[in-house]
Amino acid sequence: MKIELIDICKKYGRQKVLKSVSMEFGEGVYGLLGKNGAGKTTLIGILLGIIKADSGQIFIDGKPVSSQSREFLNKIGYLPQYPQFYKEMQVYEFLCYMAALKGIPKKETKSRVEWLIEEVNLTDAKKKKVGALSGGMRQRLGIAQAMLNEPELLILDEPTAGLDPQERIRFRNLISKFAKNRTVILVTHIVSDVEYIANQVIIMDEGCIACEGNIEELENSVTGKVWEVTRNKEQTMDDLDFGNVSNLKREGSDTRVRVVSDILPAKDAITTGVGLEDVFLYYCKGDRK
Amino acid sequence: MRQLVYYESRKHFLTKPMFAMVLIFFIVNAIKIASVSREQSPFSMLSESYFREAYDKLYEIYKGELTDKKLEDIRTLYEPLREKVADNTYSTEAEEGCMTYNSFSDCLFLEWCFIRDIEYETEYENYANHVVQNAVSNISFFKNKHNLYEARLNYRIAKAFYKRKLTGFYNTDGFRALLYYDFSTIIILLLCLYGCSSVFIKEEETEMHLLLKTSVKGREASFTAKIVSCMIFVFFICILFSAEDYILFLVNFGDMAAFSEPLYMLEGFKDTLLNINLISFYILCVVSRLVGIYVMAFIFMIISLFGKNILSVLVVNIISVAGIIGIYSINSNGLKYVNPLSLVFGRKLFIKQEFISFFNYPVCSSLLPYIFSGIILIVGAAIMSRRWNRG
Repeated sequence: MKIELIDICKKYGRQKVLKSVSMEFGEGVYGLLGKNGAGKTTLIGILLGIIKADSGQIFIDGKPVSSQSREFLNKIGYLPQYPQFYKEMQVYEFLCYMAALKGIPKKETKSRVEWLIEEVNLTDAKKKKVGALSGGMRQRLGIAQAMLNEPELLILDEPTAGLDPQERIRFRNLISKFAKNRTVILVTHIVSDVEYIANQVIIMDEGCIACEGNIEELENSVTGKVWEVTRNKEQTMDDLDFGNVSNLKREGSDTRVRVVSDILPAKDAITTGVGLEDVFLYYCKGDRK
Repeated sequence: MRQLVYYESRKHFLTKPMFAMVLIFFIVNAIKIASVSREQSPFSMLSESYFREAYDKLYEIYKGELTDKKLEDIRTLYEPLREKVADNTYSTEAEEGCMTYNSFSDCLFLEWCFIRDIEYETEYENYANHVVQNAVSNISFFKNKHNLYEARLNYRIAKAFYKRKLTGFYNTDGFRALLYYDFSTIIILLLCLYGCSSVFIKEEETEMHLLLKTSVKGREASFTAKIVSCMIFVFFICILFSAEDYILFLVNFGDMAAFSEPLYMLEGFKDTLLNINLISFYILCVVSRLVGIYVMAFIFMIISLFGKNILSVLVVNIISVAGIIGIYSINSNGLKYVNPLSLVFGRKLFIKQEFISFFNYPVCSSLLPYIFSGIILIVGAAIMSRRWNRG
């Protein structure tokens, strides 16, 4: 499946949320990164047909689509940000309802729902009410409902927000498992999620694409711009621009500061290895534009 | 679609709080009916049980077709008692050989429980004939004046009252109480307000609208399922409480044998143009109430669709109900026909019917609320569909 978004623009009142955004998705896991308010959710809303773009076009496999066409909806699975679902429904019942909404024939529903419940490890919670599930279980239920129609395009909006580290790891593994032969778009501002499972990363900032590519390419683009400065107790840190600090670590009496900067941040700074978090910080700093 | 309708019902109506509310209101309604039955029974003022025994005994004799013999018998029983207590100086001490307590109470008992109704029934034929005669003379008069509308109107009146008479004697207290009972309507309105307010706003509050709108059947089909499930719920609630009203009034009054008698057997409906029996009229009232509540349910759902959260929707819906009741109580002629409460409390439309001229043809004004309700339902559905399916 090939998805092309061309010159997508969106304004809310006077504020331009998307400024002529163009991007392309093929098979694989895409991490759509950006600060809160960067325009990620709006872009996904437009792709899904929930939000109407002011201008621009969307093509699926080269054909322009009205996002609302049945054919397109049949191909997508979506997990929205902070889903609550229906608290009084049982897990199994909720998935059966979602299957009915997705137009899955009744005779296939039972087997598919039971298979997915097992896949997302919710077998013990099958009869539990959705309201009684933990945050992690609810997210797993969310991915199960998104997978019901075996979508070619899986869109997950902030899927790990609010999860504890263990649940986050479990969720990442689950996404990796479901990602085979599909297009998965992982919309998040949590860099580590993307770092572990995405093949391609798109970073958005203030309604534009700040950069895109695979992780290696992106890290290479920032090579030489990530610095480390070590200061002891007696030394002042007044000369450092804390807006550019990506990490600050205490080691005994020393403090090791990681700075992302185009220029040498301090006389004693040395360049160091680049991580995706540094790339994110580098491209999403507003004053760099 | 059936599956979706089931799940919509499950989400909004087949919930524990809803079951609890229906059960509580069911019990409250039963208590209210018992209280209304006590108040409206002719025996409410006559607390002693011998009145009831005397009534049952006499009613067994006089109920059914009013023959000349029955009329003669009851007059023979009543007239001497009336003469005896006419000067209001008769002793109120207990007497031997009386049906109730003494002659004075016997006289009052006969008057309240038999004579008044029998007199109304025997005189009704004359009254109807009189109406027909007047209408017929009006027809000639208006024809001469070339006033076609008035001539046609009088023709309708003459036709409706032609050959009207009451031939049976039945206890109609149960039906009277049933037809004038409005408490269950308030309960139905409250349940609908509670149930229908959440239909759309719940999707927003749970963020489920995003999943619905990105599912194949989440738009039109889901919208239709919501409307259908809401209509089934309203239908069920209306039928449940209407049946409860009928059964409990039947139990409390012990007699609904008048069900096949014409509506004008009730004095309050003396001038109605409807020539239907009491049970048909009750069914008509239930249907009217159902249509009226459908309109109210649509109003609740429209507000639910435009609301920000469930609390604000409930508050706005309560204010809307209060406003609609306020407008209804103003009793302005024009607004009365647009107001869905005219159908909710439908009997008032038929007590004394009015007509409006439609190309010189008299059209019964009681039809107007149905027409307006139909328009509101269609426009409401269009507004909701547009809003739900947008973006």
